[in-house]
Amino acid sequence: MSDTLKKLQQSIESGKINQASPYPPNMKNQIGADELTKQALDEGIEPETIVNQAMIPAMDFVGQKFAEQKLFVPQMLMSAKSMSAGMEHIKPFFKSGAMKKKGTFLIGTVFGDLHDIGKNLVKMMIEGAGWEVIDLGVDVKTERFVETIEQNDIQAVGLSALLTTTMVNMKPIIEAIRQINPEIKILVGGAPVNEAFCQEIGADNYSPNPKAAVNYLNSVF
Amino acid sequence: MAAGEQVTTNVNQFTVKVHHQFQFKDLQITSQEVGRAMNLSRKEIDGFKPMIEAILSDLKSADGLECGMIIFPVDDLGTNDWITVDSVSLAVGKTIKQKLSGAQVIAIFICTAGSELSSLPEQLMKTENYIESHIAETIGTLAVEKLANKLHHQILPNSGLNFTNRYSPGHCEWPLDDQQKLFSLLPDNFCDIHLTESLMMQPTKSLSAIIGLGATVKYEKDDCKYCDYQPTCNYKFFRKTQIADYQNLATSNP
Ligand code: B12
Repeated sequence: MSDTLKKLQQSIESGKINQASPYPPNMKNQIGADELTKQALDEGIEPETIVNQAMIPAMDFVGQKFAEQKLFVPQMLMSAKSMSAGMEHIKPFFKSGAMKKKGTFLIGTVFGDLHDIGKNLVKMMIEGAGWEVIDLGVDVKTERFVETIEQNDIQAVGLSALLTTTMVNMKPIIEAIRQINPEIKILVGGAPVNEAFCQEIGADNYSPNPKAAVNYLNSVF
Repeated sequence: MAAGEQVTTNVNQFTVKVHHQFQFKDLQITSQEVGRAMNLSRKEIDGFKPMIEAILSDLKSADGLECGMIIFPVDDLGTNDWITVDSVSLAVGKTIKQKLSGAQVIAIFICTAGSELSSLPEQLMKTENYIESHIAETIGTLAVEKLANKLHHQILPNSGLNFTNRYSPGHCEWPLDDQQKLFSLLPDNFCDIHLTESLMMQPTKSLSAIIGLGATVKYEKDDCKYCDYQPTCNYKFFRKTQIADYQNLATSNP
């Protein structure tokens, strides 16, 4: 792998956005994902290679460390931010059709619930894995999920709930989605959710963390 | 007590009402504290500092922070896993009931960081400023916890009674549905916090809780052990600040 791609991967793993960014303190004044992505493109490396060989593996690594509780939310967010700084240079290739997204993922915290820290992480990791993500936010009613599915080409949906009183709200949402499109894969997550509950409400997958969700999507699509 | 309006009235012969309003700057939240609450090491905080300070500075004039409580005497806590306060029965469950037993007085309290602080994380999320959103999120939670600590560790000790930890609807076996009953014990629009149809408090950065006071009850420093969510909990710093406030109460009292 080219030296630039290696450095890009390292920058994303350690959350180095660009030269001006003071984080992480031990990489002060060094260039970051922003400059390195541009450099890689200037060197003639294909955008697809940059994404697949540097960016996705970097986010994969970060997701794994997070799952092992060796990294926390802020470090993961810094990595996601450096990845998106690099992505800014790749975006024009998506627009021109030279590169394709893996699909569109719809995510939201179910109605009655306002906890969204976990949902936001899942959103970012799935974006980082090459998906377009539509985020409906918190306290999302069944009708909003249904409307959004009707208006967009959605392949998978993620539902988040952090309260034992709101995880039951996943069931009517899943039933409504199945009625309009039984093909859509539905992932559920959040601290009180588990595998048994996932099966009980007829979801396709329970993932305890964003990395597991990405692994599942990769295995299906 | 920090700046802010203080209204302490005898609502009737028995109940006591406490209500305080603050500005964000009264809480004196520092970038160090925010960094520690985000589980960052001291070294890492340096890298985040410019971002944290920018947000703290944007919030300089934020207001609408309020906290208040109603204190009820109780003759009989009720049987089983319930407690009855002013004829309202709360299904606190076995664990909390055990902690509250022996209480002669019950404090029902709510606090909010206000709508500006509560809506900032979402606004920043919408503009894809994820990390800033998380910082704002942490600041909001820190603000709510600090307000709760003021009631819990600065005002309640003045009663001369011992007090328990604070417990919220949704904690341990206490169903979240009881939020409605808890709010029925408070005056209308108290602290400007409202319950939505789905029983969530608005503004979102709000907290509701119950504390028992009495000669025999006690505050437990390690109450995390009663919680099922320990493995995924990123709340440990907030616990530590609360314990520090508890320990400092003698010196911080007015
Ligand atoms: C942070 C937090 C809050 C914040 C929310 C901020 C926000 N924007 O989300 C604030 C302070 C506002 C809050 C408030 C309340 N909270 Co709260 N909160 C928490 C806390 C401490 C952490 C949640 C969190 O963010 N974890 C970190 C993230 C990264 O983890 P996560 O959410 O689990 O997500 C991960 C996985 O689950 C998974 N995942 C999540 N979603 C999805 C979705 C998909 C599709 C997939 C695949 C995976 C996935 O991936 C994520 C990353 O690994 C939990 C306790 C806990 N340890 O879980 C309590 C907790 C959820 N809260 C609880 C309660 C009760 C409340 C209140 C109702 C308390 C009250 N009465 O005042 C209030 C409600 C406020 C209101 N306005 O009405 C209870 C719920 C208990 C229950 N019976 O259900 C908990 C469990 C605390 C407890 N010990 O009892 N809370």
